[in-house]
This record gives sequence, structure tokens and C-alpha cells, in this order.
Amino acid sequence: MIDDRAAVDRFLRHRDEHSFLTIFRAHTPALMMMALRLMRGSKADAEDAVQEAWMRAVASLPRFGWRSSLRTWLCGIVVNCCREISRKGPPPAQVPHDARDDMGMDLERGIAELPEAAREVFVLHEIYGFTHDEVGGLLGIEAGTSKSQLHHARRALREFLGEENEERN
Amino acid sequence: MKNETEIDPGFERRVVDSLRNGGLIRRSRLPIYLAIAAALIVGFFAGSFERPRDPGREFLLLLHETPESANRGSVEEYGRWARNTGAMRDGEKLTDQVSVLGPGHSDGSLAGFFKITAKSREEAEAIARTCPHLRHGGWIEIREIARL
Repeated sequence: MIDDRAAVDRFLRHRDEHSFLTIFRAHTPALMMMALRLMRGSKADAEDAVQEAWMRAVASLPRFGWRSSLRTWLCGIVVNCCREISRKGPPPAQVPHDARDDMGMDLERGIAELPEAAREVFVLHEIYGFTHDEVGGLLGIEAGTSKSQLHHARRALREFLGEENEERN
Repeated sequence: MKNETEIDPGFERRVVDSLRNGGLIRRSRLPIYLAIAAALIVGFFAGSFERPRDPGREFLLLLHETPESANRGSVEEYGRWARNTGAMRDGEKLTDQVSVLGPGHSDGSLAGFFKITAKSREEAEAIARTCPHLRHGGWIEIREIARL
């Protein structure tokens, strides 16, 4: 854990590689995992999204007003970058490499199969713990829409996991 | 479910390069605390620090950075200064990472410190006044170590 405010103040004073890396290393592991899930497990697309997100974040950092946490703000930028890349052609669904050893491998596969809107809400709310208001702010949707998308996502995942179990049995 | 993943060092390099090429960040020169640490290491291994006198009092010179002082100074310059003081006891680097507990606030400007010996606060201030850090726009806080 770092003191984000102190790290950002320091970066804005110096604008150098060293002070940037302090912020980058504190947040990128989580941002990358989120991007991997949003990009259906495509490492190349997730890296493109996170790289572009950092470009935009660094350019906008002097105007960041701390109305949310730095992490929340960065997540919003990553979500937008993922959406833009997805519009060019969604990658084929695959399980993020780092999630393959988890007990939740089937769930990861199910998340990758979800429609984009439901996947975004599920990942942000269920995995990263954002409230529906925060999810709404990040995705530019109403909190109620976030709730209904979560409902769709849960139902789709239940069906997916049920089918997976049936196939196994 | 995992919330984080390991970052490939190649990816980190790629992001830094793209930010630098886009003019959004600049290359770090040797940070001041590394210059301090390197100066101390070079000085001790070369055996070129004079043996510190034993005047009985110890002071910390806390080196704070400002936008003007960041990325300025060289190993040779700090090393030369440290050798010439004849009062150097120790020095340590501080990383950028800051944790604050309680109601305080850190501005993150503390970059490193030297521990020196001096007969009096006036002498400690006189030694600190010659530190190249001041010429580079940084500031130095001088604190005496309490003897309990």
C-alpha cells in the first residue's frame, strides 16, 4: 500500500520515471487483472488497454480532483480503454492465464462468455467490490441498470455453470 | 478469485517508454538518495573518509527535495563533499513509498539523510551549509540525536 496522494504529489513535482513507477507498480497488478477479465482473457488486448489507460491517466493527472480514490479513477479509464479496443473486434473468450490455477476456473470461463455490458458490471461489482453507484459512474449508466445487468450476469453464469456440471457428469 | 496479476517487466518498460516518447515523463537521473548512498559506499570502500572526530554530539541532516533540486547533483559531487566534511558517520537512502499512520501528513519530500558528528549545533549547521544539496535548490533539516 502506498499513500496515493503523496505519490501523486511527488510525481507531479518531478514528472520522472522513478516517481511514476511508484504509482504504476502499486496499481497495475489489479488494473491488469481487471482488464484481462474485461478483455475475455486476451493478454495482448489487456496490455494494450492498460498501456493506453496509463497514457491518458498521466496526461490527466494534474486535473484529477480526488472526488474518488485514485484506484477508482484509474479503473474507469481502463474500462473505457477496454471498451474502445473491444469495439474494434472482441477477442475470443479464454480464461485469463493467472486465473487458471484457481478453483473458479469455470466461473472465469463463464465471465468471459458474458455479454460485454453484463461482464463489465459483474467484474466491477462482484470481483472488485464497487457499489452500484460507483459502477454506474464508471460505466456511464444508471445504478438501476447496473443492478439489472448484474441480475442478467448472475443468471447467465448460473446457467453456464449448470451446463458445465452437466457436461462433466 | 484473484484480483491481481504479476506484471511482466517488459510491459512495464513498454509503458515507461511510451510515456517518455510522448513527453509525459522524463528519464530519472540518479535520484538524490542513490547519489548519497553511492557517495557513501564509494567513500567508505576507498577508505577516503577521514576518521570522524568524537566531539560527543550527533546530528541528522535530513535532505528534502524540491522541484528545483530533483534529479540534480552527481555522485562525484556528493562524494567529494562527504569526504571533505570529516564528520560523516552514516547515510541511508529512503524509497518513495510513504505510509502515514495517525493524523499526520507526509509531503514525500524527504529523500535521504546523513548522520554527522559535530561539537555544537552551530558546527552542524556550518557543515550542512556546505552540502551541494542546498546549491541545487533542496533544503536540509538539521536535528540533533537525543542522548538518553
